[in-house]
Amino acid sequence: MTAGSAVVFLLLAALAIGGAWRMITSHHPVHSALYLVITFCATAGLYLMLGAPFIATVQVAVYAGAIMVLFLFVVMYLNLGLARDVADDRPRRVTALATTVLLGLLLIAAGAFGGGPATAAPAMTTVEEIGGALFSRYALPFEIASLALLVAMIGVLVIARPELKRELAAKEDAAS
Amino acid sequence: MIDPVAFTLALSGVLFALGVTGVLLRRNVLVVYMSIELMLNAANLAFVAFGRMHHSLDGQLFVFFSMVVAAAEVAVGLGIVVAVYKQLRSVDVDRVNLLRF
Repeated sequence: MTAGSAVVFLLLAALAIGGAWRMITSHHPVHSALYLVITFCATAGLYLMLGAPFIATVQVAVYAGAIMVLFLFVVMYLNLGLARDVADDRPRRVTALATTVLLGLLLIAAGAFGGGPATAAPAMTTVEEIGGALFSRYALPFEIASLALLVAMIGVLVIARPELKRELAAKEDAAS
Repeated sequence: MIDPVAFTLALSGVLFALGVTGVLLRRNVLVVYMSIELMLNAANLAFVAFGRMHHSLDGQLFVFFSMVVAAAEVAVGLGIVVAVYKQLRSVDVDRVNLLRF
């Protein structure tokens, strides 16, 4: 790893951690969502540096784009500012911070000691390789994933629209 | 110089721990969801790092599937949030205790 790419690596990591920290501590959910977009974009940059351009693109399009738009949409639709959002009772804060510090140290240690030696020149994976694997070796998981998305979509319609359930029940009553 | 794989794994640990903090500390269910997304992202980062360590494509494919599941999870989760808000007029996780006895 050259000095230049190490600097970019550190910069992206700092952006990701800073965004995540501000996401947790901002009092307004819209600010939280926007800081999380920063974290996701920094993560996409890290994917690019790790030789995964396809994942980086999907990260920006799906996470920073679609999922965060969905979040912002719900925040603004429901007008959700909580007056008392961050937990203010002491035991909960102490528990949260202690858990975080312990878990963080554990995971950092596991990562730092569990990671193997740095590999040679990072081979960029191409979209062709990923597409080929998806439609050959991973064809069945791919189909199951599309089914999962379909089921989730129908489930959301049923959950979020009680009037739909009522309409269906009325139709059943009329039929019987 | 720093080792990119070990460095990325450590960063993934930090992001995961921050996500856990968010879940434990926040009351707004949407911010809790965002923290869960952050934890999923940390796991994805670890997948890509391990995939690069082993010169394998599988890490990136796992990330692809994890993103599919995350998208489905967000859609269902936000649907539940909307439904709960219609019932309770609130998104405070401490007030959503209908299943507690």
